[in-house]
Amino acid sequence: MISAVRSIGAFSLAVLAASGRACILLIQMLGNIPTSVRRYELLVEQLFHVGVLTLPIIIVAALFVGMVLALQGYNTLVDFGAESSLGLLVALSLTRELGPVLAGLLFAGRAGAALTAEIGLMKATEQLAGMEMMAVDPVRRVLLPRFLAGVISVPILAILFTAVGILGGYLLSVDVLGIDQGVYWSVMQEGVDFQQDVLNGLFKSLVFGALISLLAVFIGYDARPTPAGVGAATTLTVVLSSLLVLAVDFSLTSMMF
Amino acid sequence: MSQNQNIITLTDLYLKRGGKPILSNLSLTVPRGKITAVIGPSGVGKTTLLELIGGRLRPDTGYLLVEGLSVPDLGRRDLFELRKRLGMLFQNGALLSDLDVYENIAFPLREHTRLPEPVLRQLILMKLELVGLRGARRLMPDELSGGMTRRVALARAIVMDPKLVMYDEPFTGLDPISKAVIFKLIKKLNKTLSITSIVVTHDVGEAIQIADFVYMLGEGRVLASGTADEIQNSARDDVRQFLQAQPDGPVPFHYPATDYFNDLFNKDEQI
Repeated sequence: MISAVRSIGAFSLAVLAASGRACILLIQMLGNIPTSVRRYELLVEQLFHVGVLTLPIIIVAALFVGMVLALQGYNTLVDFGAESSLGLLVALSLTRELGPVLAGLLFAGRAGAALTAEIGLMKATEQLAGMEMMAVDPVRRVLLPRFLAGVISVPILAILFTAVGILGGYLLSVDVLGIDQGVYWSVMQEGVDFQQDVLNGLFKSLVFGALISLLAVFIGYDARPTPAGVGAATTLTVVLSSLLVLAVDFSLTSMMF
Repeated sequence: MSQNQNIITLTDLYLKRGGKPILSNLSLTVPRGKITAVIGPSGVGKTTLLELIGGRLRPDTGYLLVEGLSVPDLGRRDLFELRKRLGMLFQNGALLSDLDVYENIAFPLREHTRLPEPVLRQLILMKLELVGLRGARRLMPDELSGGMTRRVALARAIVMDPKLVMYDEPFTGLDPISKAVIFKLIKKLNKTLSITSIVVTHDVGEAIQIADFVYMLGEGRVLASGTADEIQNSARDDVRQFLQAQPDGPVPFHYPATDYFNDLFNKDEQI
């Protein structure tokens, strides 16, 4: 009993301490932004690695999600004779929720895990220590470009996810289910509010991007420098950032809508 | 020796990690322009000593002067300025795995200087020629052998023309030829570029051959010091056990454990 209480206490303390270290890292990174502007080529390189290389998975997933939404939505709406609203259902689901959340989850699995593994391995092979001894700050040189690339990429990926999802829904609705294409687009135009739906969705994806990228670089930087430590850190990034994306999504949704 | 002749002065250094003292009352000096070897068994705090000198760790108490600067008291900016004048060769090379040999050596120059590309190229090729790897400049780190990795890391460590180079186990895990190459390079750099060298190693033979001055560490402090001959003639049992590679002695073969008989026939059978 006592040992259980003790382990809960130790776990809570460890979580608090790690949160503190993550906050310090975030402050260090934010403080380094002005100097890193000069080295924009590092950011561009990372935008390619974490953003562009995540595109295939985003596009394929969005296509299927859009088609599934249209199919399920049609089956429900047709009972009420409301299948003409299918375009609105697909668009609202994607802009408000599925675009930002699924893009965030896919980003965490594809790029977040890769970032943690890369930084963790750099630590385990003393590359970060080597940099420090060459008077190069790894936070500025390695962590910050990766973090910024994540923050910038996720909203763009979410927009693309939403757009491709709507196109997937269109393909199924119009070409398979026989919904009029004019109706598909016009209900969307009338029912989707730019500020309420699109901007809020975009804001969500920005928060998710910052959250996942911070977790990914921090957990990698904080990993035990052993093969097992890097493996555990990679898993932790995916699990923790996925759960946090869903939890933060709920909080944001309850505040926004 | 006066302060100026010593590039590094350590006085009564004490460091505890995880409740266990790693260094206790360690005092030593490193003379400028010489090769100083720090030898001792694994886990005795040799690498820790290099991390202290480079400012990656701070001692709990004691004085640590490098080039007349108290390293533990330096701010981040000053520490980074000092590190630009130090080179370090890590045991595994610590080459950046996403950059090729050329870019690895260019890395400190690109970070700290704004040299035009042709000048940068000449500097890098000169360092690569020195370590004999000019032809390998487009290879990636995972295409290099252990000895080549260490030579590239050495070229990178000296590309900023440091005053001091620290070698962490430079001979470990190398074949005899590579070992001889590294040995020759450390000597050559010391002689031709007047670089002060600290060689931390447990390879007694190489250390004694290469060094002008040798420190042997044990139990977190200096057990013996002197020229190679003085160390070899030391009367201390622990020094002789290490130099003569005896498996048992003052440094015990067995890790501390409970009584063997009781342990074997322990009814509780605790692992």
